[in-house]
Amino acid sequence: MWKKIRPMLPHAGILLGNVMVVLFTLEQINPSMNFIDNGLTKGLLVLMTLAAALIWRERRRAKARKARRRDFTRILAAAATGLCGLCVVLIPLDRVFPAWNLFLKPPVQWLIALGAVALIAAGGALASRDRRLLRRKLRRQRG
Amino acid sequence: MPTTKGRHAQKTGGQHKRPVIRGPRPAWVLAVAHALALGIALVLYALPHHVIPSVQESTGVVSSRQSIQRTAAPIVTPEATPEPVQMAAEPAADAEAEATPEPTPAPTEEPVGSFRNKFADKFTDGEVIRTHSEYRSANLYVTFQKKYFDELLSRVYFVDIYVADITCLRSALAQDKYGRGIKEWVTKAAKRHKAVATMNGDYFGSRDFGVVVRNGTLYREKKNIRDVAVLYWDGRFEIIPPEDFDAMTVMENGAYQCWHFGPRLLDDEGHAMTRFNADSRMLKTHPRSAFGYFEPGHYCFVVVDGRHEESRGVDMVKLSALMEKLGCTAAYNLDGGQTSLLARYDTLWNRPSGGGKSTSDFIMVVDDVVN
Repeated sequence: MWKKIRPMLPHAGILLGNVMVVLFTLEQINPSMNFIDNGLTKGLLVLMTLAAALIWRERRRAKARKARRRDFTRILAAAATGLCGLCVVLIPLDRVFPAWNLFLKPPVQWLIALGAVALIAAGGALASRDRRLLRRKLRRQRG
Repeated sequence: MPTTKGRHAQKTGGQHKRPVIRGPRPAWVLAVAHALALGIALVLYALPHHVIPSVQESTGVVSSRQSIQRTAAPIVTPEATPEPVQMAAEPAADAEAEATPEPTPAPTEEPVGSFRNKFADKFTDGEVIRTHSEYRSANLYVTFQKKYFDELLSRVYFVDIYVADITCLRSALAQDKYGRGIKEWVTKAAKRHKAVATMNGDYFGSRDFGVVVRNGTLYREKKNIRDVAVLYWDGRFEIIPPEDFDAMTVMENGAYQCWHFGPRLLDDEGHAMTRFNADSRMLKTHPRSAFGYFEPGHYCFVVVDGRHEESRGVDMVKLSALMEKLGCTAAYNLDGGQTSLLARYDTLWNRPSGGGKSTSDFIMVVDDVVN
């Protein structure tokens, strides 16, 4: 199962992050349309957190096998997981205290946007790494 | 080197062949694939969000004229309404539009929501006078004025409304249905209800939050950070800040209509404001729709065209100043931009930006009393 998910993981992260960035931008342009404070976007946030956590887990396992080396992908994925995870924690709070209107507050919206950008960066770094490894294998095969 | 199909080895004649690794796809292919996937994802998001209509139920909470307590303290309004700017009548026109309003005589005791005696001089005995610039009947006195304000670089439409009964001023839902994504064009709604004047409402159907009370029925009570405008069955109009607003309380007090867009435009004394409870993006120059209140039974619609060469639109400060100049004692900003729509009878009267767009609700004036 993991072998099937793994190749798509970085691309899924990039896609989810891009969708959230577009929604954040639309919210700034037309806040009356409510692009952030709705069930669909909160579901998207949960998926983003999951994707970020999976990328982080994947890099953590890979790093454990290798010598110590700074792994920016892992750092980005950790940042994305933290930021998106923090916003996911606000979802039940928002349900319990609807008068707080947490997802209409600019700091929360900016947290979501930063989490999305971090996820795009982590997904991009992982996809780039995958491409490098594939090229290396190809060179060895030809060589 | 023997070739294989796909990335995995094929077993041929008892020998395993070395898997052939394909190179990564070109970057431009990935970029195009990502862009396509993003487009598809956004379409899939938009469909349930605001494209596919979904009919929803009301909460079942209803108010009526009987909800109004006679012993409740009335909201204080200025003793004499200040002399408003007289807007010029339309060039091609018919009768000269009358200036609003003179100080009204003290009202006699009337049923809740009735202003027939209070404004008896405005209404006819039954005759209906219908022209481009006014509509006068036993239930209504409505005047239509349009003027270009040089200082605003904008065209302003002003509909002055006197009603004999509060139900002559009512809300209409798009397609007569409540829900998300249900929209209708203004003239279609005006025709169906035989409205004298119709303006867009707060476009509640585009979002999940916002209190919705229409014609005495509470449809939704999730408030947010915006000011709430309440029109009561006895004709009073007030604007409540979000921290003080409670849907059930206003329903018990006889709320007839609630709009949740904002901000309020005038302070407690009826003076223009310079600071508003609204996002900074909403304060910029746009086409505008606003609801104005003078006193129970006397209201107005104000629409400002915008985003045209000949009519720029106004920012919130200028809109506030305009409502004060028109003599309103309270005023409330409604959905603007492309949604700023005003129909005179069953014809679109203003020039909405981008041709306008359908919306989920309207405020209209109808020559019909509902008991």
